[in-house]
Amino acid sequence: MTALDQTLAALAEPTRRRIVELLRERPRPAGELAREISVSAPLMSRHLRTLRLRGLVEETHADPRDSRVRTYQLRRQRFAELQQWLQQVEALWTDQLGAFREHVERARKGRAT
Amino acid sequence: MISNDSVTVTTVVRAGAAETFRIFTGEIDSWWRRGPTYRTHHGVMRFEAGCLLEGECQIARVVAWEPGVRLLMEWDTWSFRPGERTEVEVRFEPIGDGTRVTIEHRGWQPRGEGAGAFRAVAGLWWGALLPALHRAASKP
Repeated sequence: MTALDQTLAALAEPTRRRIVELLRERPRPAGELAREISVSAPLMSRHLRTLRLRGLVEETHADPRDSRVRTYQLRRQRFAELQQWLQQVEALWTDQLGAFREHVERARKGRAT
Repeated sequence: MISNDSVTVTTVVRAGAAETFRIFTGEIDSWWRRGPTYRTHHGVMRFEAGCLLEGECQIARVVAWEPGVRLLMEWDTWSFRPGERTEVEVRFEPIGDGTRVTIEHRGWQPRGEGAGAFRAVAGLWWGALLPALHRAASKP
């Protein structure tokens, strides 16, 4: 099974898909996820473990006063960084294409006169 | 336009497709912007021996050279991760009495370990599952 197959398998399970949908709104503690979806705490732990091993979610420490509270969030850090990078690349190419267009216009005018 | 793995920009110039391709490739040193943001090496930019060079440094390797239609390059610079190679495709399409030039730069997705999870998260980000995030990401 490829990494993609494993990821898709992780998301094929309805409960895990529901977890991802809830986490898209905001990070949530495991207990809250269990209550929202109405599954037992041990079953929720197993689902979260699967999602974590597939790299889809990660634990955060939202509550520094209580390290027992495990809060989970979608792992989109790398993706957000890539988006930022792509915006820079888009700006560069937009600049270059603008310069190219001006150059072609100048060349045409040069020939016309 | 930005998708989860590519950047596409486009413009229309008032010249035929063959002429536009010739100017794009043959006069690249004249129109490619100058300054450290745009040029990282020194010397004349030119297509030579299947490569795009800047001085003696290779910027890209030409994969497909189809005058008036398409130019495909393996791009060595502007990498997100060190040593990364991406792909730049330039398409030339006749439109009215001009040519539409489209540049698509793509291929930043991680390969190998972790690629599947990354693609899935990227898909979630842009797909119907995450319309709220999609809207947020689309804001300028």
